[in-house]
Amino acid sequence: MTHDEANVNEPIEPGARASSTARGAAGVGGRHGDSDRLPDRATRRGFLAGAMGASAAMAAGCGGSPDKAATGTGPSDRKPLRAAFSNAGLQSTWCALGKQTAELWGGLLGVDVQWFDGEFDPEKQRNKIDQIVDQDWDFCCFQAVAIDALAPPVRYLKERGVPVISMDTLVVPMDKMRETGVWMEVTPDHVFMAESSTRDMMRRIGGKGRVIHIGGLSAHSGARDRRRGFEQVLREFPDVQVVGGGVVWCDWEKQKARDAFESMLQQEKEPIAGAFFHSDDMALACIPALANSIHKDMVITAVDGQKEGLFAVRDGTLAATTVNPVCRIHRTALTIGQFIARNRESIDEVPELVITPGPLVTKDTGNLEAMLYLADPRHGIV
Amino acid sequence: MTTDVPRDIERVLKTVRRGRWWGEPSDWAPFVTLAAIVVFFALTTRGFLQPGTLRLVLQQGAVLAIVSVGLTFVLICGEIDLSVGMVALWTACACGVLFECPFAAGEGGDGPVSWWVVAAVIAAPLLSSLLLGLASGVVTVGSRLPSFIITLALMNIADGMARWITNSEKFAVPGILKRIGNDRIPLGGGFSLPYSVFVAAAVLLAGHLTLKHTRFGRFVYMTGGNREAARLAGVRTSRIVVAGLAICGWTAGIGGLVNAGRLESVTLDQNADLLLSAVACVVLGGTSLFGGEGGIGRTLIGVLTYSVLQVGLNALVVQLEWDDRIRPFLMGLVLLGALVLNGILARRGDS
Amino acid sequence: MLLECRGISKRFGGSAALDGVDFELPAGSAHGLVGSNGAGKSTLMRILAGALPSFEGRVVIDGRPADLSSPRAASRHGIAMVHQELSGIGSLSVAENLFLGRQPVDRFGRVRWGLMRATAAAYLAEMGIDIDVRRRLDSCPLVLRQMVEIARGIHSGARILILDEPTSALSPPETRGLFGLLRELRRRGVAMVYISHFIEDVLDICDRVTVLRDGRRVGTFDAGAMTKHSIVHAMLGRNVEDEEAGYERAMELPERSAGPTVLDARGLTREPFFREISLQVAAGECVGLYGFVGAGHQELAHALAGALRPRTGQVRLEDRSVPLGDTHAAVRRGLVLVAADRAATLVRSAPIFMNVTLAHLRSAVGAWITRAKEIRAALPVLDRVGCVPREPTRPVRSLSGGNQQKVVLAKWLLGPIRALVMDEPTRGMDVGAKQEVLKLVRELRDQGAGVLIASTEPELLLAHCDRILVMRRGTIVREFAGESVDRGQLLRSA
Repeated sequence: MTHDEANVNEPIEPGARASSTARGAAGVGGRHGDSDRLPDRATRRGFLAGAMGASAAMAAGCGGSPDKAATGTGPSDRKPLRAAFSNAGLQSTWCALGKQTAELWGGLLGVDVQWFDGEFDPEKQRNKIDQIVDQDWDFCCFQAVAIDALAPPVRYLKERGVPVISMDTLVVPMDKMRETGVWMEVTPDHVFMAESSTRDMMRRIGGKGRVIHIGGLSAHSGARDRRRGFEQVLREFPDVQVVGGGVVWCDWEKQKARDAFESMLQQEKEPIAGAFFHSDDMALACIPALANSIHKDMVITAVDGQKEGLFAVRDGTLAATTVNPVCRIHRTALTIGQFIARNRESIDEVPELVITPGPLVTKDTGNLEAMLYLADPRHGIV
Repeated sequence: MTTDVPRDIERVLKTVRRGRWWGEPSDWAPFVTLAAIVVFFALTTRGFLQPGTLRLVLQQGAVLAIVSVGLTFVLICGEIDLSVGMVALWTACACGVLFECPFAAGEGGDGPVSWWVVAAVIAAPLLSSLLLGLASGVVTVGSRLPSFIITLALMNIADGMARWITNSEKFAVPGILKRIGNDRIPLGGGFSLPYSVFVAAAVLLAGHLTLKHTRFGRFVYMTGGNREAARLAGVRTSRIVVAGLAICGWTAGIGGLVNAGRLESVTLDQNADLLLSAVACVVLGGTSLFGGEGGIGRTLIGVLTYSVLQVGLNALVVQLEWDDRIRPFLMGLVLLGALVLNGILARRGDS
Repeated sequence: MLLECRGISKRFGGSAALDGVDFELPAGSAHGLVGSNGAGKSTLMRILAGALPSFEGRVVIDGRPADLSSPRAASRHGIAMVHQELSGIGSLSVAENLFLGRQPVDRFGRVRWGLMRATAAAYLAEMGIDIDVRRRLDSCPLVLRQMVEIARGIHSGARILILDEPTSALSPPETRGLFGLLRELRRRGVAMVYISHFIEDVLDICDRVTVLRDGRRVGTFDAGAMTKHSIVHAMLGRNVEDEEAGYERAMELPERSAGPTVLDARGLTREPFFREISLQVAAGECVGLYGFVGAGHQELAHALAGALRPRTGQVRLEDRSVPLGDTHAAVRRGLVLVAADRAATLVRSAPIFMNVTLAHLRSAVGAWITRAKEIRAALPVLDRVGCVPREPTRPVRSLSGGNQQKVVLAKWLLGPIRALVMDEPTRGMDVGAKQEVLKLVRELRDQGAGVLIASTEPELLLAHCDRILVMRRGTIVREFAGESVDRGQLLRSA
């Protein structure tokens, strides 16, 4: 097990997480971020240009990979590589940010990144990957929408000798990775992220009182791991009770989260001490409901740590968030894939599992400004 | 009245046969649309006209075709079944959960398992899908409410049942399903097709023969064409509707299992799009949403059209290096174009 | 001249439906249009109503060329049409149907329900109808629906009113009411085109009559100078034995049939249509069921054949009980229905042969259905009923009304017919087709089937029935058997 790039900003004890954890389906899937949050202007423009080109009777030659022009090609002495990327679904801002990062760093490293949107649909993703396995790729990086669904095309890529790196969600279970043809898994640590944010909330509420637990989509192992992280910390605090007895699944949907949250606020006669959300988006959608209620001192923590969440921490509406390092995951997969291809490394030389840690961010941790810089889509570092 | 009746009948039959294969313009409108789309991609996309593309089209259309067969029955009946996607999901989930039971392959689906256990874990969910369809039929007919509402409720029920039994976990499916979904049968010349395509072909053929050559099939058409007239002619239209919905549930179940085999696993996010794509396929083929018209042949053309669109657009987007997010937009645009073209050709045929 | 048509031609596929027809209509006149089925009457009227925009020739209204490119354009010229096939909306009330698209509203745009209902009731009262105008249209008998259709056409403010078979479902009192109304409209300057197979009606209400045959105009005559006989002659181009001449004189009904009872109904009740009805039909007997509109005889016919489920009672066919409201059982046993409303008895988008084989697929075609087998099965019965054109693959909707009814009969001919129940079987059919259908019915009766005909046309029943039952307000009030009866007696008893 390897932790990549120990960052000074990250209060992480190495090996915090047991690798035996069976991790399954899309860790971050299902978050339907609004497209306004696509942060990079250049990308949006490029997208629109593509769209208009398409509607104009699909005039040939327009569109194009948007970031290439902006970042230039890689060092000229190296032959450009070709890589196929796919993640869960670009509707989610998390996935969209991953795409931007891969394209940004691909430009810098001389890798031509071709993107296939998973659209949160295992069949659609499978269809797209099936269709491109015959093409020439130097390496491929996939976040599967559903575990096992991409196994047959990956086996075929293995036959053809194309390295495959999985990101976040496993393509196949850990014990079958190598036989299927997955070289490496790059993943965040959902349990740890939930633990960090939950622990910070517990500290702030003094280890007693009632708290709310709003979950993502129950089908996704990322959300289930976050739930486990929360519950592990909860066991250490016997004086804390969860409103409703346990997690309330809201499918990453802001509207559902807000509805559930408001009805819980309504039912409680005593002020609720805290709330933990599986995503910043859901937390931010719920915070306005606290105004003018008896619960206005509630401590809210969440997971994701991207731009909006970081701003909310800076403004004090969100007590803490833990970074789910989307940029780092995609960049690590890209960088390692590139090394494998250029150095002709063998499958035995690379580690099976790379965990990319994400730090807790609060007003007190001192890493807020740095995170805002590192997570900026123009830099795509964390 | 004619005196020489037999010879006269043969003469009429001859005229009919001559007219048949020419057909009405509305019959060949979907063909024209399909041909137009193929020509379009052949001109714009490098390497489109090759056997590999055909394999992809058939492979990606297989599940859709299986589900569309049942849906064709229901639409010709003048009803609709909104539950196909979730019934497919439920069937696959039930199969996966049974397969991972201790008495079967055990957790992870790796244990030794005898053939009859596999047969049982496949047959039982298929039976349940048939029963679900039957239930929606019985309730639809009994309550006299539109099948739109009843199957909407069933959709939620099937979804909830799938969530409940899987507890949102991922399950393995029997190896035979994986083989059906992914292994290929070589057809010579380096061309091979997955088993799923042959399963789809069998279901399509069975559906076609049932609709065109059995009494039940004819009653389906007549029930959809004019339910009151069919009833007055002694057709038990309620039973026809129930049977149509049961068949639809059953084919949805088959589709769900084949899809699970292809994806080598069952998770709750499968089949989310199946309903709408299947309806699009059936309608693209020219089957009326109001009943009485259509057929499996048309549905096949619809599935091929949809599948060619999907494969062609994927290839085109890759070739032009467009942002992949443009794809649903283009798909919608071309789908709209195809439906409008169909409509125009069909109307021209009528007047 | 209010309306002038010059050289109107219209082709469908290869055949000419209309070939250079001229036609004029002065204000306040009533012009009859007669011809056999398929002579082109309906085509001409559909052109005038804007339903067939592509035609050759010229239509001039008020001296200016008229735009008839759509029904809306036609209605702007003040043309309104009362269709033979009912076009009201079944799920709306009678009042709403009467005011379809032009409900009275107050200045806030709210519908003035009270005013609307009162006016609707008044309109119908003018025609001698007294019903609750809040009833859903599809809960009304066919005749009432037809009256509503007519009332809507009359009161739409049209200057040119096209009436297509307006009286085919009406009984004499209602017809009289309608004619009174039409005359009043003529006095107000409304011109009307009156299409009907009832030549007496045409001669009664119209001042001129145009006869069409095979898409051409045979001639235009003064109604006063014509007799029914001469018009039929012009229509058919030949002399027909005029059965209907007998209608006016008294008919001698035979003694009650001594044959075995085929159809035996006891205590049938279905409020509000009929109650405690018991009747028997013997083998080889034709029983008439006469009543005015809404007497319940038509619903009773449907109930006998299983198309409508009575609340209580029993129906027996040849001494075996038939489940109530079960058409499947009834058809299997040979208890079949020919109804007035062909839109409800035929799958009109389906080819002719499929409609013919529908009821007896297994026995006529077998377990494995092919088109050739079906056509082989269907053609002989189609020929037997004399359906033209005899292209079995054409959709039924392309046939004229008379031929559609022949297809219904052909359907039953493929299986056993023990009892034939008919509800206004010849509604909207021309003389020739009517005779052919009734000849077939006689054949079936002579072969031992029991026949029951429910109708509001006394002539039909007098000419063809052995025994006549009269219904009023849901009960049988009189039976004529073995005695002499004429039209007047029948009318008075109802």
